[in-house]
Amino acid sequence: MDIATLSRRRLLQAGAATAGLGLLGRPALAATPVTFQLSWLQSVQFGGSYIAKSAGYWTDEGLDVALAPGGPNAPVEPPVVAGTALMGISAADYTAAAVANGAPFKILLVAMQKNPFTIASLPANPVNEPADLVGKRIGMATANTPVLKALCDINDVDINEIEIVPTQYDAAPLVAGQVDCLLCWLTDLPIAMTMQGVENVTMLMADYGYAVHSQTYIATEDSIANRRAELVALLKGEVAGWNDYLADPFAAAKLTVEMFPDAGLDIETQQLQAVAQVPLMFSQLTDENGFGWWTDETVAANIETLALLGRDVTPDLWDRTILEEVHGT
Amino acid sequence: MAPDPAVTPAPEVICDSLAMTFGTGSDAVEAVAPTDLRLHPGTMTALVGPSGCGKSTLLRLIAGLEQPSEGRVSIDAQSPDTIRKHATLAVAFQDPSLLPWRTVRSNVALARRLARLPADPDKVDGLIAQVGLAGFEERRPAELSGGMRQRAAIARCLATDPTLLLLDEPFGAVDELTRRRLNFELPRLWDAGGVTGVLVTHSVHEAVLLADRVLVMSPRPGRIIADLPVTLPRPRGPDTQALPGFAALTGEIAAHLSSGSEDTARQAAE
Amino acid sequence: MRQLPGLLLVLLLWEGAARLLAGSFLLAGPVDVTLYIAQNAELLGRALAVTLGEAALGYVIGNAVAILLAILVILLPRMEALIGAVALLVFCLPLVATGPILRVLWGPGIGPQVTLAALAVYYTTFVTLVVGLRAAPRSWFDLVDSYGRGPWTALVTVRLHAALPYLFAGLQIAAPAAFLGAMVGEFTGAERGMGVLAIRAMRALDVDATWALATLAAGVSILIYAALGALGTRLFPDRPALILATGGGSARGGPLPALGLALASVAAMAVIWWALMEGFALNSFFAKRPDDVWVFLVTAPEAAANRATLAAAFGETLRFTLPGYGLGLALGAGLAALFTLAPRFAGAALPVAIALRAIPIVTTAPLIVLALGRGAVGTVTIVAVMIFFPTLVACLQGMRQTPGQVLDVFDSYAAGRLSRLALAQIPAMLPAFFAAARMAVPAAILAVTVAEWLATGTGLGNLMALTASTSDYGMLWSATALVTLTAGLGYAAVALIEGVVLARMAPEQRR
Repeated sequence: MDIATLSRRRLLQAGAATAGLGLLGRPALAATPVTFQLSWLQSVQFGGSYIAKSAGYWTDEGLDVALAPGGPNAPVEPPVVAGTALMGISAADYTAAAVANGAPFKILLVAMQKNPFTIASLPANPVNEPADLVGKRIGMATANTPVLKALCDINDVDINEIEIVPTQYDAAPLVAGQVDCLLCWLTDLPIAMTMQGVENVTMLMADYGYAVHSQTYIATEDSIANRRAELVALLKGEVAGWNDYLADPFAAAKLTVEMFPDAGLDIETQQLQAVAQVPLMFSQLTDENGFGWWTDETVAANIETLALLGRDVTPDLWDRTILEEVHGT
Repeated sequence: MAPDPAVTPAPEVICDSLAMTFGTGSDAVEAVAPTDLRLHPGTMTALVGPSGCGKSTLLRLIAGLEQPSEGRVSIDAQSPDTIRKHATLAVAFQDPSLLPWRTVRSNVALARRLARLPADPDKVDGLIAQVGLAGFEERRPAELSGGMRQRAAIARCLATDPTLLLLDEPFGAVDELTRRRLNFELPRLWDAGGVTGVLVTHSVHEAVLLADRVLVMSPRPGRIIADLPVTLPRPRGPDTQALPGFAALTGEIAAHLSSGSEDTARQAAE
Repeated sequence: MRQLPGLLLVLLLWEGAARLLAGSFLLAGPVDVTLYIAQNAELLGRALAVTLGEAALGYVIGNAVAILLAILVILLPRMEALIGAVALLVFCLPLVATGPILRVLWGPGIGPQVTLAALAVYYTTFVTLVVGLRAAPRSWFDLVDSYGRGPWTALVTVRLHAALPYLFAGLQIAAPAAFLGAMVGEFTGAERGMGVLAIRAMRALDVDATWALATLAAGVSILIYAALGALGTRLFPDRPALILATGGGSARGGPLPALGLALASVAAMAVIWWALMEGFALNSFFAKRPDDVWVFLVTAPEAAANRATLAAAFGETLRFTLPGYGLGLALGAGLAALFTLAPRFAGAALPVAIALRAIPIVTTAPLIVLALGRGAVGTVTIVAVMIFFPTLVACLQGMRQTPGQVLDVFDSYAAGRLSRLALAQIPAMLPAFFAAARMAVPAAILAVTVAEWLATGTGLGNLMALTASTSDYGMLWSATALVTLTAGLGYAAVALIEGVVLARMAPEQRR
């Protein structure tokens, strides 16, 4: 194979197939170092970013991007405010909270059009729609009570009819029968149960009116004003990476496992997760306008749900100008 | 307060080929060479010898606090373990070993409790007064001088009316002046005929003042190299030291002590 | 090899429990754990190497700081109480709050892991070493004095040598803590390590992996602890048995100076807090200063609501901490008594005790809560498990401190084991018991907040984690200050009781 004739897509796949890292070996001569703060441990949740890095999309833009992992004790907002990370991955509700507490954030890109919050249950005692929640014990962090309250308000369910059991964020309380259902992400605990052979039922809250943008990319107003070119370059690579991801989520899963051999990742889990998050991230809207897009209508729906969560925000929280530059609109 | 000899006669102690070796193999240290010994009822026997000669070990063997490597101890034909259970034995140690969190009174009373004897506050206070600690009953050991602690320990030792009294350098940590005074006072505390006693000491003066018989031990491994009766009249006091027999006896013991050391040195050189 | 039967018994019980609970995703037995370790040896080996490396670096740095602090205290004796109190407060800082700050300070890499490991070890070493530096007999100092030499010469020629065995004992206690600190540090955003794998395994409902990681972490901790112990015994055959028994610290001199000291140390802490944040120019969005907390809790319009939220969470936390603390101490002291009465039993049971304590709380807390329920029992058990082992070890050492001649006195009356225990060994154990009780205060609070954070979703631990995710940093720092102060006050309260009791029971300790 003559490498010079390979398309970038093919090159990526070849790279993923061989080692996945540093294949291109391009010396980042004048590359500007930039840190991108992820919201959780390395996993295919950020598959598009890994593609952008390994395929050299950022190098092409003159960036040397470090992908900083998150964790249970690693909030995203501080490094972004402090400037140690140029951009971070948050969610509209968390971003709104941070802004209310004085952080000068704007949302630049919406990676998850649909919020991943899900009610997971077991087939014997399923929650298929919000009305099924009545009389159930739900395991969740008490902190998420407003989320459940919002879902109930939107769907005319009395939250007092639901027993909230404070639990840790894992599926064990559900499997052990301590609760009837869990508030969790579609892309983690249900997949863990499936992998362990535990059949489960999921109800995506976004399908029942819970409209909160998730995996939103945030930066400070100061960065938007003064490091605009870097942000544009960063998002360009992201968009290219996620477009590749959509074309082949399994390749992204494979790349993820290969890039992070020490992370204890399991290829099957990553594949399931990679596929599961596609409908959350890609829609007709993104097909037409490009990855990460939003409209005044989706923002209006967000503002409504955020109000139910006790967060009063204005459309100013979203700043689409950089994404418009990226997509050339 | 003295026990009636008819009821609890002073016991006879017999050591039969008694020997003690610590450790095993090449690390073995012979502390006491095989010893035959008979302690007559109602007498006080002093063991003198240089430091480390095994005299304390011999005393602990008699008390049953150590198990001998060879031979056996019998106290009126019973084992030390049995005797200890009957609470007729008491030991005074080199260190006063008072419990620091207890007052003098409760330290002395503790002995009766440990010996499973009924509490006897009058006896306890009487003993404390006899050792000269009246008024210090409620003090804790940390508030007492070294000599006072030793007296408290001796009061404790007598609180159970023992018929076998084992004294392991009970005045080792006391200044010379106090020591002399205790040497004169001590014998009055027990009935000369009702108690069999062993006194371990490195002081020749003390041995002669307190004992009816002095055994001189050689350096390690300890063996008895001299057995000398003390016939000085009782009660003994400061005047006793002026008697010609006193000087003669102390001189003889001292001679045995130094010859024992020379013998050992010679053996080591050969 | 006296412990072999005990070890086998543990393995059998463990496997039996796992079989009994099969299908509940609670517990993996030794067979499955061994299989998992064998199948993932490479991955686990690399993770272990990473975390061990972080722990080792933190261990070296933390202990170096402890040594410098201890020397400082010896050279400036007037500053001892203040330095000791501030060192304690820093030790009590809840890691839920410090983790993210450290991540911002250090950026990507192992900075926070190493720092948290160092923070986890420095205090125990510091306390032990200060005792050691004082452990030389008065006459040795008189000797130095008689040649007209000063405190420096005394330090170099006398104190350092006298302190070595103590230092070594402190280093032994600190080793497992360093490993736990490094693991928790990995929660602040790390690429690799045991902590990373542990989070992943728990989320993935992978019980085999979770227990394999817990077993490895516990095994490594036990090995290091035992190896350092063996080395210590070889180097210092006559090293002190009682390493934790220090005077009541802040309790000395009655309640009034104690109050003054408390105020001074809180003030010093506030100044350090402020200076660190200013010095590193940390953004006040997340790095709240003492005055921000004051505004948040006192002068802001919502101050009353803020205080109410904080108080409610605090109440929940205390409800579990106090019984767990009591239970842990009682269990530790009770087992020590039992082991002293039946030494043969100790040989079998001690490995269980060490293993229970060495399993990292971050992996076990959720499992214990899952098994014992979210009510009082689960959390109280976690707290008790966390503190009973150090208490047990200290009490055992304390009982061995009973002077041999005192025991001879008891023997000479053929007194039974029970009266030996009640009348001699337990009173002799008290200084060690109180030292352990003091050190157990921060440990109990750490345990309860970690359990709340990772498992029960209640109380201050949960509040701190929650406020970090919703950027409510005013509340986070208020909670941090409250937790730290509570730990400090709890410590001082135990020290006060200790002072009173020891003045009665062990007057010779009072010097």
